[in-house]
Amino acid sequence: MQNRLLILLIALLGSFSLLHAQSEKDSTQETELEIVDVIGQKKARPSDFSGASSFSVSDTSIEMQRHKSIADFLAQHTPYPVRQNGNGMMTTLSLRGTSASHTQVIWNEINISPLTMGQTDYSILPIYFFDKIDVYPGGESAIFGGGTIGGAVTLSSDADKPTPAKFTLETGIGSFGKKSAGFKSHIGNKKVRNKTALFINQCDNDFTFTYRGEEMRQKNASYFNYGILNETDAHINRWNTLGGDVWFTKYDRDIQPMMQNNDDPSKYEDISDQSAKVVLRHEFDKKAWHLRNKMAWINDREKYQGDLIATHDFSVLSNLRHKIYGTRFHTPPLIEIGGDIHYIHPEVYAYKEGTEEWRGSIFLLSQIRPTKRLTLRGNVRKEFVTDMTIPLSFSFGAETPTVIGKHVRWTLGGNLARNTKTPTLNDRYWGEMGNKDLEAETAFNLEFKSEAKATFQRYNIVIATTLYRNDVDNWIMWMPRGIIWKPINVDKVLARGVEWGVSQEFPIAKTSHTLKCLFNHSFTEIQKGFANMRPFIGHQMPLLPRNTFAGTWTARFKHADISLSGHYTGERTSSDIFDILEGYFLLDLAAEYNIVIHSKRERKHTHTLTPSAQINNLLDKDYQNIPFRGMPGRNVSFNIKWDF
Amino acid sequence: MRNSKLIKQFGLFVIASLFAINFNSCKDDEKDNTESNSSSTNYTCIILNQGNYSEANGSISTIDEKGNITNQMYKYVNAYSLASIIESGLIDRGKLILICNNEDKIEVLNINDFKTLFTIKGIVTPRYGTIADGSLFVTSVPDWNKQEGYVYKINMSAAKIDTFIKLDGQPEGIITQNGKVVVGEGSKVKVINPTTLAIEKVVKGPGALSAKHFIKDNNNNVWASFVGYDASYNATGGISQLNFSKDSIDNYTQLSNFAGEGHLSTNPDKTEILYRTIVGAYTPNEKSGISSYNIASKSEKEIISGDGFYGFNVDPKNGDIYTANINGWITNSTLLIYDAQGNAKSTDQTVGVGACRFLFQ
Repeated sequence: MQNRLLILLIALLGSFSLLHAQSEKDSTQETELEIVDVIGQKKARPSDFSGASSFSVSDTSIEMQRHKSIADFLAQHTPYPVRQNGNGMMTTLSLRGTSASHTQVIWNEINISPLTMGQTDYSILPIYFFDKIDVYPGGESAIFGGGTIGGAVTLSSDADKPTPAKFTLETGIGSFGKKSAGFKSHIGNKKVRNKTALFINQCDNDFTFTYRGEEMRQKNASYFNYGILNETDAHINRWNTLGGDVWFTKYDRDIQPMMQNNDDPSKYEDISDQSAKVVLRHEFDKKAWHLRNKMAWINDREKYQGDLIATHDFSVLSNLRHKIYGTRFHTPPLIEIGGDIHYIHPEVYAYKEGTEEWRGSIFLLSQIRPTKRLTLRGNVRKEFVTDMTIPLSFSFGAETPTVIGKHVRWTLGGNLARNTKTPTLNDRYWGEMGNKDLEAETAFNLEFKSEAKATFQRYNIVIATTLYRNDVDNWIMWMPRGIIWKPINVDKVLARGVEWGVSQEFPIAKTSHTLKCLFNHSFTEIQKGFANMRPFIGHQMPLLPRNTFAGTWTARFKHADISLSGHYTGERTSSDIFDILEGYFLLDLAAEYNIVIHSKRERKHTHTLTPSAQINNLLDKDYQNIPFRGMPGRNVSFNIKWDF
Repeated sequence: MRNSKLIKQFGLFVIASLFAINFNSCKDDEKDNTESNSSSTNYTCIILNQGNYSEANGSISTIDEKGNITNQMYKYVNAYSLASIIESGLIDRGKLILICNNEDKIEVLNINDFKTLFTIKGIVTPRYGTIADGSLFVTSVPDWNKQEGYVYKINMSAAKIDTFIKLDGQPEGIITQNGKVVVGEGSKVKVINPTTLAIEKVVKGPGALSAKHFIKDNNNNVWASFVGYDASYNATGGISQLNFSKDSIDNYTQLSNFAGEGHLSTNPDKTEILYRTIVGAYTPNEKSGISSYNIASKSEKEIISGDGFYGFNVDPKNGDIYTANINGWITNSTLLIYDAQGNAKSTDQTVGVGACRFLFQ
């Protein structure tokens, strides 16, 4: 009953906001909205086939908050719960009540989620490398590849964007012995473009926290990270482009002990993660045809307490896109076919010698707009895995954009998808505990969305509501079997919920403001047959808050930017339904000022010096994201950036 | 101008509405929590819920004379979570002694109100305990990769560690017999003088099986469990009476599907030894059970079969058997109570995570 009331309230809020926005239309100078087709105006990406309400963070926001962890970043820009095993420690993201391994991370169209564990540790993804981060929740994310039962996070660079030579040097210091330095360069002309990014971070991470009423200083939580990314593109003729990407990162970290073990050296541990990625790319782009070929080698190596867990993933990917002109449809239909093949060679101390796996997939993506007010999408993917049969994945969606009056564009949409996830390598091959009889997880995802965009002079508002239902069959969990734990397919888990977001942009005097509010209410319910989760029937899954809220206000003045962001994580339980963890609200403030220095010799050569400051946890909230993992109170960092 | 008014109104409305939603949600949850924590002091069973190691959410549940269950008793009384997993526990002279891991500690509570009296730290991975000569003796295995361990002697009056002895194996179960401390350590059972901590006797077990836990029969004889796994990881093991006069074991009996931890209990008149069984440890449908071994007839009998049993105990007053389906430690346990014949008395009550030790006063 409470859930229904809440959903009703949110629907009313959405309607009210929409009506409120509409009521202004007659008294403003009007800007007529049009439904426009943007496909083909940007570099081809699988996301072109997505109708999901994604959470997109552009380079501007990333620039402002580049010194934050990607965990803080996701918490502030999405309504989804981010779990941090301590400050700067292992971080996972759960979308729509699914597990962390149900969300795949895609970097420039290549899945970089770890093949062994399955779940991505976002704390070892350097935000500094990326210019754009998008979160695509829902089953339609199968367009990015398998395993996207919860959704996908895409990380991309803008190396393809034409730019004059630009260099950035920066350095920063912060609380708890934090030191950072970075260098970025964008060099290019019409034929060749190159982006390089280097970073180095170090932190003692010796913040204070309160445990049982006593203040303690965090021990064994320091980290030292560095990495380099290089992306190069060369147009070898009018239609063909060759490119190559190299990624190397190294993260050496103590593992922050639980609060109660802070003074017990016998519980101190450390971990080292190293990742090397090399990608060779070829693109052919001629009129209605677009071909993308890639070869990639990804080597992830993790050393935990001296034990090695590593994989080599050699892959070849090919996508052919065609825009069909000459039809009677409103816009030319778009189709893309493709496939990929992976040879995976693990180096894991607990696997049997000679373990290897082949994986591959073929897919078809399509989008048709028969009329101005209807978009249809259909995607299908078939995966192949050594000694396994993976069911077919598909998604079918429709959208009906409607212009109401001269100010409001209202889009209704829906999507039905079936998605699959192959068991991880650990699930299948971990010593005596692996289970080669596991079946792939499958999920049926149904979602409806309503998105209203309104424009009144320079005031823009977007209100989006999404209702979703996600039925997962054969969910894989590790369960005790005698003296060992073993992965098994449990029966069924149902997640359902509502997401609601409001984003506003408006000017005041000579400043521009953006106010974004995102709210997520999700209820993840255990269904029949999942006997081990029986006590959770009627309760929310552990560590998943029913309610989360993220809000960001950004103000841009002539040379200055200020950002105030807050996020609320609601009450949730540990694995014990009687053990309730408090909700908490965090507020962060960031400001930067651009000092533009013109060259005396040539006016067009300018230098920009940008000092910036951040205050995190402004309200000095004492909180725990994961039980008994200390998190820092109010802390500051100062940075200076030199663009030339 | 009008736009800015609209923006202000809208912004305030959104923020107020969101706060209202969250506020209402919190109020409901608080109500649920309070209801589950109604305190009771007349309890018939104290359930120690081991908790999940990664979350350290061990807890205490109690059952009162009317059968009402109170969960999270420790947190409710002490205002803080225990922040450990509970490996084992015992009751001694009005004190409930919790032997905890991650955080490694021994937490001593007043059994009447569950308030913490004192905490002993400094023992790495404490396992099990017994009272001898007025002191608490606790086994400890600091590193599972090394064949070594300790027995610590704790002065309960001074609330501090008195001394310890290092052993050349991994000690587990511990019991007091005729004033001496009896410890299972690897394939041997060692008898320790509680005053000097000298090892006075060593009893060899049957082959390579590990000596785990102990129980006394109606003649005050000590029986030990010896368990292990075969090459296919199938549970194997049995029980044997310890003969301290000959430094040997008597009447070793291999039991069917005897489970790994080797915990033992007895019926109220101590003529039967009860133990846990596991069948199909490698299948998704692992089955567990509670069986009994009749000392006189030397016969085995299955009393209960079910899913997910871990720990168990017998109420010495009426012979009721208490166990739980621990649901794989991924969530709360389902408490299961049977009478002595194996007839279900309660099967749908929810207690903490990993309910495994059932203590009776």
